[in-house]
Amino acid sequence: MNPTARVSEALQRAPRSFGGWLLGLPLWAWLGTFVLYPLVSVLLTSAGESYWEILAAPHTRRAIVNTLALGATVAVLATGVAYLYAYTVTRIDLPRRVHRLLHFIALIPTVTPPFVFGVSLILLFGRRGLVTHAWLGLKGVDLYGYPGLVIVQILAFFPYAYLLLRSLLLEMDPTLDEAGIVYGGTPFYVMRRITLRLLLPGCASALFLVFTLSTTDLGNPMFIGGDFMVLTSQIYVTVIGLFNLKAGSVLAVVLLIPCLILLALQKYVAARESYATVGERAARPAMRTADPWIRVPLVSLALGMAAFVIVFYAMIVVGASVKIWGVNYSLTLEHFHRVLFESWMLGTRTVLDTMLLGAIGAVLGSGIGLLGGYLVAHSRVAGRHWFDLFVTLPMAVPGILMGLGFSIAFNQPPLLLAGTAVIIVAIFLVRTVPYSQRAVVAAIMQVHKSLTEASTLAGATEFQTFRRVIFPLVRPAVLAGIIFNFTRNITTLSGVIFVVSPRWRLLTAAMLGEVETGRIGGAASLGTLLIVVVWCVNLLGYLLFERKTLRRLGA
Amino acid sequence: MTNQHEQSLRRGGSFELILENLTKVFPGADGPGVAAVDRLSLTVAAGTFLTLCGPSGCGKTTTLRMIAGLETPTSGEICLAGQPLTRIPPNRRHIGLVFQSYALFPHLTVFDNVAYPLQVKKESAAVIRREVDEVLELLELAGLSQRYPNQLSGGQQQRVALARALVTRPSLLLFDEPLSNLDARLRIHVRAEIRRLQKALGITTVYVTHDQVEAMSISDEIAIMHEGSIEQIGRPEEVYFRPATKYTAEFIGRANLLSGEIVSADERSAAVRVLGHEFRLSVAEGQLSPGDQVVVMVRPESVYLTDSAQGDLVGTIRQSTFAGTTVEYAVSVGDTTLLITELGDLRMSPLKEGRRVALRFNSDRVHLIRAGGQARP
Repeated sequence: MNPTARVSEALQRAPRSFGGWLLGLPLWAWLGTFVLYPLVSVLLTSAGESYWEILAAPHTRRAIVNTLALGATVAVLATGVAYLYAYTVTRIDLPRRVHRLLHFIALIPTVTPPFVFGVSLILLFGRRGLVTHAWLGLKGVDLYGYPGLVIVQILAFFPYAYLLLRSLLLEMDPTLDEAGIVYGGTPFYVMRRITLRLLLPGCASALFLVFTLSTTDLGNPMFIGGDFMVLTSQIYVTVIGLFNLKAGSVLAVVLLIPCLILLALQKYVAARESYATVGERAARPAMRTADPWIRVPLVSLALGMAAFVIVFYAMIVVGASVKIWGVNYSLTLEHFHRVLFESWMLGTRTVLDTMLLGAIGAVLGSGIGLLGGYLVAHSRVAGRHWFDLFVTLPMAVPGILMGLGFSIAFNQPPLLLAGTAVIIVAIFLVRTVPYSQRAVVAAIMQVHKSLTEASTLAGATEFQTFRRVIFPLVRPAVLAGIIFNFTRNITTLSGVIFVVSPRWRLLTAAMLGEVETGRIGGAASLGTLLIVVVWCVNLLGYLLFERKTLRRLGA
Repeated sequence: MTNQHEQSLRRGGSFELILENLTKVFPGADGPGVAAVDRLSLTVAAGTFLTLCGPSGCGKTTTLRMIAGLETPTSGEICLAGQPLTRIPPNRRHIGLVFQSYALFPHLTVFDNVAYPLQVKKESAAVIRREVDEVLELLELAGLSQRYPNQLSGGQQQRVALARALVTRPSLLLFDEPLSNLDARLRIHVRAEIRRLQKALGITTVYVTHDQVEAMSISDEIAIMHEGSIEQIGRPEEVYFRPATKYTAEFIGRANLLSGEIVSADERSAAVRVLGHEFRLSVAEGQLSPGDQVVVMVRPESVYLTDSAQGDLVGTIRQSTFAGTTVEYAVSVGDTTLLITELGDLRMSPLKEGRRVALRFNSDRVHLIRAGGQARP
């Protein structure tokens, strides 16, 4: 046998020694119990003779139409805004500080529950809203329903599209823009005919992403939807109000359909037109135009959006700190006092429960993601690709469907978990592990294969290679993942609404309770607490992990 | 630029390009910025093919991008055909630029890529078709006009980029390392092609490359750049055989740089003692006096290995490398090691390492550089 063949044989054999089923079996068991079992439970509950009856009911059809109309409107508008915003940040000549500020403000909604903006809309444009009632003096006028939802969801979801398009704009070969200019195109012509054209696949992805976010949002339709029922709010009302699990399941499955179709479409578009990132890796930043005909409108728009985000965000704190909104604007801490200390410290316990469960879920989620990512990206265990597919499945599954599945599956033997902390942590995990695992897979893929091969040939066992070569290199991704997971855990509403219990309460669900009982000040103060927790943890994470990483990278 | 002038540029032709005290300072992350290009002055005569040559970071690409208008000079002026360009936006400069990455629009066909400069000028469809077809014909791309860039080979993409640069008959043609993405064989072919076209069309051309062989073989003139300014400018053979500085000598080709001392000197010539041997060299400028420390440069191919009777110096072969066309020897003379290149067909087999040999210099090719390498004030 020649030496090369011997080496490659050694490499093939080595990774089988450790890991393998020892790692695979528990992961599959977890996957089967907490991802597949609840999903199958919903599907089984929904199936049956009254399926078509429920589907044909007028309120179901109305909810479907409303969901699609809202999703389409928000997707188109938010993606348009996001393109212009991303173009401003990456292609317009502005002081660096302004670029950073715009970018930072756009990040705010991504660490905030979307329905916080819903609460702000109530404060600003509700029946006793600051704008509608106090300033314009309108009586009984509000923006609830379709228009309000469009405004709030654009504010809450355009940043996701922005982040996607921004990274594509940064990766795009800058010489294409330059060629467009040098060969006589005006900046505006190039912006439309070159940059936007090359970004179309990315825009399609952004469109699908925002559509999914809009259609799976539960908080805003509950808070400000009014009579405008969409599928998520219809599911909530059906399950909680009418105790009709079967009808709720049917609606949840209906909601799943557009999500899956869009996922497939996104993959199709991405596969077909992927030249946006082809070409030279951006060696220098793209040209930034100072053409006033572009700069003035775009910067105005971006600053306007940023101001909107800030105003809506600040409104929560203001709303939490005045006596009775729309009636008595004197400053007070009584809402905080009530939600935190009354009813036997109920609110304090809610905050602590939220942080405790959120943190446990975040750490476990990163751990499972690390092991799962290792299993998928590095081991040779049979079926690892199926494992990856199933783990990442919840990315496409609406949170409310997953939550419903949990409440059906674990409300009965053999796994009676309802009312426990386990069920809450488990749904946190199901909804964050896909992202953690994806991040780890990406990080391991970046570790050049020759590094692990060198380690193996140097005589390291697979465990040693993992501990001494792979883990140190993926650690930044794992640590950043903990912060991301925590943020996601404590800001989700649709996922947890069916699994919270009097024993284990969460802030987002408590906010819904306050809004439903008309205590907007209470909702705003809970929202303020939630925001404070999120910011503290993200700041801490930045100081602990990111800065160290940045320093090590010499940035 | 006056409209009339724009018209005359549009007709094509040869124009003189002048760069005057061109400076570009990039703002630093913190503190003062770095001058990528530092008070660079340069005149490119009409119809001349000039190459800016230097290592990465010497400012050659920044200079090119300023000419194209993609960077704004911090100070200085760029004049084309006597008209200042600096305040004209890049989309109205009427310059052809071939990018290193070609920068072909991936969503457009070859035809539409080449037609782009005419389309944005709102030319009529008939004019566009005629002009594009003509330039595609010129570059032997006619059969490929409906292909997309990702369906073309590297050499074909490069020709499309050139076609797009030529289609408007630009008043100036710029190349930014256009051959670096091609394989070695194709590079030589395309190099000759670019040169042939440029000569035929007579367009003033500025070409940027870090490859000195490419620079010498394609240019009328080479400007050697170093840390943002021009170290030397001249015809390729001037720069090669009579480098003004040590930097140029080492950057262009390979050089033996030997320290020496002036023994005697007059207006035209000087006697220099190098490695114990006295050479009589002709010098361009006087002002040398006995005792001056100088550096002399001799190219590896200007030293011959001979019988000891005829030699200027005696040395020992330390390493001999057979490379086919040539054989390279490292020969030590005292503490100094000289690099010597011989044609490969000169001997049946290369001289063995360790052998004593005599060296004879082609004294016409021994060139004097003032000590410190600062030939120019």
